[in-house]
Amino acid sequence: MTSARLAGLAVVGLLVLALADHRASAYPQFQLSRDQTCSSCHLSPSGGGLLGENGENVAEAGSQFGTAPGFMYGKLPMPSWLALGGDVRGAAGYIRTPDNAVTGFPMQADLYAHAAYRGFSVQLTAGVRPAQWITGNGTPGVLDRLWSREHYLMWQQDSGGSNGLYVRAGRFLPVFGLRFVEHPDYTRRYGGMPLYAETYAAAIEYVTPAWEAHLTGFVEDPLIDPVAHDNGVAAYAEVRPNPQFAIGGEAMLTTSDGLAKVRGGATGKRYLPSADVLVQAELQLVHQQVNGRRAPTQVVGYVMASRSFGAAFLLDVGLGHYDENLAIAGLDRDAVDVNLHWFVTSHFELVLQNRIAGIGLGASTGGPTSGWSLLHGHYRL
Amino acid sequence: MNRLVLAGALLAGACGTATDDRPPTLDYITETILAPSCATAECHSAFKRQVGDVFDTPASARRTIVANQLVVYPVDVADPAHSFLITTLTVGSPSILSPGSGNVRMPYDAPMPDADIQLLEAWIAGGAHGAQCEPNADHRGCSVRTVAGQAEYAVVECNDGDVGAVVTVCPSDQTCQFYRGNGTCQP
Repeated sequence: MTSARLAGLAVVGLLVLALADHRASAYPQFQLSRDQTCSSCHLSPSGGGLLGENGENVAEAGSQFGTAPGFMYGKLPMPSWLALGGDVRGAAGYIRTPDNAVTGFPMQADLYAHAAYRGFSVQLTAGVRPAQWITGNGTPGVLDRLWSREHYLMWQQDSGGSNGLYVRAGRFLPVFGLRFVEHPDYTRRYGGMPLYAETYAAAIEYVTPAWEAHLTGFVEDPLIDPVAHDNGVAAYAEVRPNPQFAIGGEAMLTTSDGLAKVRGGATGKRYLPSADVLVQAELQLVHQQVNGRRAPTQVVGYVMASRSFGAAFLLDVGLGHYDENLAIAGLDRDAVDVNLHWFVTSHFELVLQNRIAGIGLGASTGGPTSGWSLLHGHYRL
Repeated sequence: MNRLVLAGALLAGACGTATDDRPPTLDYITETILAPSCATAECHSAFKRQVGDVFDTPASARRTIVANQLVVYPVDVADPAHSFLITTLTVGSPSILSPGSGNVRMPYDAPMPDADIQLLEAWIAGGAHGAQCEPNADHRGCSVRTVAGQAEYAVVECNDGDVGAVVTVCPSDQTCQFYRGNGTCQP
């Protein structure tokens, strides 16, 4: 069988699996309401990517139609030292920014592998990337569309557990802030954590139900043309005085090609069991210097309230604020996000994402109002 | 938590009032406007280079503005509002990805504040320093180079009074020609 036919079959297989009904992975919106730490559901100490056994159980319990939550529905048994998985996402809908358009686009097609031996593990994320533009609107080659977004070596003190000391080095997203999945959320878009900000880094992390701390040093990716050109260090710590309340602090220092930034901020999370509502917020102040001269001081903030309802629905209402220059009127942005998640099965999720955003609210200058309404499909292998 | 939400709400309502005294320089507008607004992962970052435009550093912004004629020096200095860069932000320009589908206004994911567009116009009106392309008696602006073992290729080699050479290698099916005063790659 030729490699082209194998690739074709793999694509068809992924499409068939994507169309078969079976739920999606967890989010920061589940923290405190389900468990205290990200690592209790994910293999990574900072969350995201592969789920552990507890995460898979949460995926099954919170979905409309259940289904076996493991990799390939458990049809492909894995040895205990190996975990495989993947995520496929796409979205389509209407945007107004400020012109009106109907749009559709792929978002993610990644495969994950995690191999562990005692306290050591290797994590690899390989998948499809947006190819670089080719002059004349040319067609990129297959290899131009592939990359490894994350790959790192990790040691954890509690082999097979989810608490204690972690040390990792490789390519991954520095740990900072609330780390929402939705990258347009202002604390990601403007808060130092944009889409594809993964880079080469080393981190030392400590996670317990009562508190966690992450310190990451990182450099600009020397191997590809990256999205982020920063070299720097990020620190994030969170304390949970009780199972329903967390408060955190964050700092990040970065430099790149004439631009220096210092970010400092705080996070807070409060779960209200009686209403089954989680409220979480992040607020950052950003000081910048361009070529050694002081540049605008900025503020970035996001508040999200999340509530589960019905058998498998989650409603998020978020408010974002970004002021690119605190001294000048008309440069601040505000956004209202309303996202409705439906966890159809243990592996498949639909999200209706809606945003309306304005510039310079209340000021005599500003800019056009914008927004979107997108239906987002997410399949987890 | 309630206090945190309140602080966020108060900040959301806060707006500056000072006169816009931001410096209209290429470095400043790239780092504080073009990079955060345009150089996103799927758009004009070095990672994606959508339609050949890259705005994530002053050097890449300079190369993009010169080579892709977003601001043509000295023509657009007299009328910044009609430069390609500004019209793309204000009324849109013909789609390159889907030719014939009409105009597309940038940024595609969120509009740019009016005050930022005005600062870009002020930079152009001030001479587009940092992204000029001045041909001179030595034919700087267009030249032909060769690489050992490869065919000749055309380059646009502009001289900017502030930053020196901006070199762009033309695709093999294009040559460097002067267009409205700039050396540019043309079919």
